[in-house]
Amino acid sequence: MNEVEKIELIEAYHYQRLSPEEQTLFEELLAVDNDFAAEVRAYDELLDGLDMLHIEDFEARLQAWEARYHTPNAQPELRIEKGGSFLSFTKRWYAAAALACCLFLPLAYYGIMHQTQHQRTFAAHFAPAAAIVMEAQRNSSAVDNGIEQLTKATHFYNDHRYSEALPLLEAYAQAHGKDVRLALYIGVCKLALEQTDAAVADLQWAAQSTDDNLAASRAEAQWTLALAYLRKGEIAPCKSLLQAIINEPNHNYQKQATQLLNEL
Amino acid sequence: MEKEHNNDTDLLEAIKRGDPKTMEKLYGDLRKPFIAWATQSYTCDEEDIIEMFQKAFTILYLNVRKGRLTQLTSSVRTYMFSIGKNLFREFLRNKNSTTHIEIDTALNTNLLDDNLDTSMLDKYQNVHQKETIRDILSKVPEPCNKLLRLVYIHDRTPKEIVDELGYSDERVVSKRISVWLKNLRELLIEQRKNQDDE
Repeated sequence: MNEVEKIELIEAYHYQRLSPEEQTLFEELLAVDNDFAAEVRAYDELLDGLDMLHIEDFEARLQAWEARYHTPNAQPELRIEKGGSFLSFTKRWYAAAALACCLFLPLAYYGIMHQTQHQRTFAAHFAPAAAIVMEAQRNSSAVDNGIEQLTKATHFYNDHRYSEALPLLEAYAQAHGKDVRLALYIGVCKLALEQTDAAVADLQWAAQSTDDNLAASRAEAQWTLALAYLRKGEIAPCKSLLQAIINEPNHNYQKQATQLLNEL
Repeated sequence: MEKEHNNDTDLLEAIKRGDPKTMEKLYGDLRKPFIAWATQSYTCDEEDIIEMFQKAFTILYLNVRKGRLTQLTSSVRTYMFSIGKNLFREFLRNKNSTTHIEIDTALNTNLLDDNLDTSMLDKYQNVHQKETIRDILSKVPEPCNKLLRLVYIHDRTPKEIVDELGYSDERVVSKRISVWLKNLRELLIEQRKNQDDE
């Protein structure tokens, strides 16, 4: 057995991929060969550590899936109600009406105050990075009229002239297809122009990309999406996403996410 | 799920592979009934219930991945509820609640497996070991760093790696993985030695 085969065998043992017979033979070998047993323990420790990072990544994926259930377009969220009620329908209606009267004004006040606070927190954190659309597109083989369009869009975007950048970016995306970066910039423009619902859709698209070459843009999209949720007052998905950012190793926005999560 | 997987074995195989589509669909399929069941059975707020659901889902995945669950004696849903029951008991005990534990004996939970081991997840939360592995992984140069991350963290198959990183075939990928796994093991031993010396 060569070194590669040996390591593959240890891996198969670690991940329980051996048949019961192979497993028994492997364990017999461990019992009689101390050197081999020590080697297997060392690999086990290493593979356990890698498994930990895998589980961390898995948990980040769960947070991303969960965030989808908290968006406005998600299927109606399951209502959390305790047990069965023994009140008749009429009594429940009166009780609800009475409760609404008692709670409405303070709740409305509370809601408005919180909304204002969320807006303030959003404004404190919303600082889009400069666009790098142009470089990416020049490097691609699609050299055409769109380049000029993108040059202008990038210029407007970096000057925070989002209302001028947005139509150019959208036209380009329409003609040439959308990538993570374009979706991010379109989302940022919409967010800056207070088209928050529309921004969320674009940012969700960019945040779910699996293109590792555009990981930085995806990271920025995730962070900006969390801010969009915050502005909308949707705190649960905002927190879920921030937690996912914090959990993701080497995420560019870990520090900002930690700070914002503490503030929330 | 049943429609896409002819039987439990197929489903467990797909979970074991970490098939992203299966996992995401299963998450969606189990989420609503789990929340409904937990809401009826325990006095917890929504955030806690979702946290318990995600923990239960991770434990289900780990138990399949590590070969602890190779055959289902009930539905996946019941299995999830059994994990959930044990997690809620632990969670509520930590919250020092007495009333909630009484509810645990109610109809919604008393048919579930009380002895399901949910401690597996704790093993994967060792911050120190995670940092050590992260540290030695950062010493691996590209493109092998990416290769190891794709295989061990993002769960890509050798075939997917061939397509993604442009290796000539799966055998080359396996060989590269083995070589770098060996190097990582040596780095780990070295790191341990340095820590002991300090």
